[in-house]
Amino acid sequence: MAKASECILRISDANFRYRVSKPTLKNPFRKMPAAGIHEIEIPIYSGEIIGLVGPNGAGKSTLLRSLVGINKFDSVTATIEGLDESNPDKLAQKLREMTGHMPEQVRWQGSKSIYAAINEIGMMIGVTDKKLKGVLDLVGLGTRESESLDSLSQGMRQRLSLACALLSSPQILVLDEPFNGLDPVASAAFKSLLSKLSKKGVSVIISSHQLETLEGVVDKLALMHKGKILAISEHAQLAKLLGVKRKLVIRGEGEAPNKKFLSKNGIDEEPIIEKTGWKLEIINTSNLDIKKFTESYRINHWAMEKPTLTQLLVAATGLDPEEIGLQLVREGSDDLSKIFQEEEE
Amino acid sequence: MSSPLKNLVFAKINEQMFSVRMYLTIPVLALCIVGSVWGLTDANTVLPADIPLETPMDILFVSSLFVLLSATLAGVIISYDGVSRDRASGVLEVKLSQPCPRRIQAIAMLLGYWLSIGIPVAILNIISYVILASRMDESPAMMDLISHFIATELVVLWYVQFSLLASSFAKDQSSSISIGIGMWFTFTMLWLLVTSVIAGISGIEVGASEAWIRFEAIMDLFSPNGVYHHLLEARMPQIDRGINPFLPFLASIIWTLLPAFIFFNRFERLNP
Repeated sequence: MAKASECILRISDANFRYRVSKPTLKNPFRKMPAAGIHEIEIPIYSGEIIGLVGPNGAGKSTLLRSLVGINKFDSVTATIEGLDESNPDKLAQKLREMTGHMPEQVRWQGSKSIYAAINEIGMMIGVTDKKLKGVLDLVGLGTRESESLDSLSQGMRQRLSLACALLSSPQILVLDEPFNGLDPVASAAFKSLLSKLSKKGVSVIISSHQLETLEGVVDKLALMHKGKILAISEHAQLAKLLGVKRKLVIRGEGEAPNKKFLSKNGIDEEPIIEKTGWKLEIINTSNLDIKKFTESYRINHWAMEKPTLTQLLVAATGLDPEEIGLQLVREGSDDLSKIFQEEEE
Repeated sequence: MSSPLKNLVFAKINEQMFSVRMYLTIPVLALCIVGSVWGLTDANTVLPADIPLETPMDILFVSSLFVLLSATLAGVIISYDGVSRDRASGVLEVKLSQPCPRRIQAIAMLLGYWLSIGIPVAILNIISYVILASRMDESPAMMDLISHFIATELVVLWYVQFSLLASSFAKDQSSSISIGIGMWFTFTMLWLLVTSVIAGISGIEVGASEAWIRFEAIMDLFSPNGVYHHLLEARMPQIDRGINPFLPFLASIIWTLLPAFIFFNRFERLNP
């Protein structure tokens, strides 16, 4: 649940577009505005964990880079702890001072040690040796500080990136796809660490293209598509706001429910045949009698499932999953092999 | 020097001094800087075209060819991926998100790379001065040594600046080294060709005419190697190429400040 706390940063009407080279004979240095983020409105409360979700190319990383002062907004109105700031240069510097950034998949490499690598970052902000070692201990690299960067696994590299983000004791921690490359144990430890930081008042923004990874971690979800935040709220509220219902998923084996049985019980959906059995996803469960199901068919499992990112995005944009992107089609309920089959026909 | 700047410069020097590239570069530098002075001070050495080797400054001037071949290439090799390597690995994004102002980071990078190669070159130069003094009957004038020392450090700085600037534009390692080596090759090997072509277009006959010598001197102002030689020639009264003696100093100030200014401004707007 979202905590009732102070709004430490509010970004309003923020816009940023990359400039890409489009040379012409007349002007070889011509630059054109390209993709970016538009009309961003995001309030960040103390100790709150926000999950920024959206398909690939939605603008999540661009927004995060802007929130940590790497990209300077083209135009913005920001309120930092009650004080307004609309100068993009000054805002970028202030954001760098109050945020810690963990970019996606930093490939720490070279023969230098973990300690030397983080010390270089530490020197920029003048942190003490004690704090530096404390942060390394916090992320579980304390005993490996003399190891070379080349010897690190992807998970260890992620931890080092997190350590760098924590060095400046940020008020807001900004994490870009932090669970990539982490094994389930490390992932659980990571989530626990985020929870602890949140309790200490550190706000966290996590981006992910997989809603499932953020389950149980985030207080709010910000739904992003084509450079815009479409909605920002708690998961349940977001689904309610967008009119997306939870669905009952029944899994069974043996004979799948037939049309006659389903229509008799007021179910419009059809079963999906899987390798190990069948699956039925029911949205309208008002007329459902699960007892009849158990009497007639072999059911292994049934559970109410939260709306997926695909469903939320489809509801928010009004587009088909195919229109939103291949990434979503893969993640959603449509069977990719079926799509390819149709293309061949 | 502010504390983060000083620390970052020292960290960069420390990192580069003990890098594999440096281990490979030092013998080449030693051979070219110290070895050339040792060889040129040999009484039996005779250069083609009767190039004189009579005074210590003559020796330093001729050995500057070897300095240009080795020290500037070393500067490029050390710093060609100064920005692009961090960009490719994603570390640049971590660094740019720190509260440390970007200008400080850029200055630290420039000074760090420059001193990484500038310090070994300085030490080898000092050794070569000692050899020069010990193997010649005549002691070199202090002003000759100072001007040679400063000019050599400046030419190394210019190449480090170009390399870092090129590296900030390069999106990958291969284009980064291509730009760096390409630039070194152009100024070191091809500049005479460029000069000759422009002279030909301008109607100046290539040869020993006064017009050609003056034209070549002017063209040299647009090359870091040329300015380096101009600075050395300022201590050699027998050489007069017909240009205002103030111009090489002006050119050296421009070669120092302009690339640095562009690099710092570029770093301010750098996207990881």
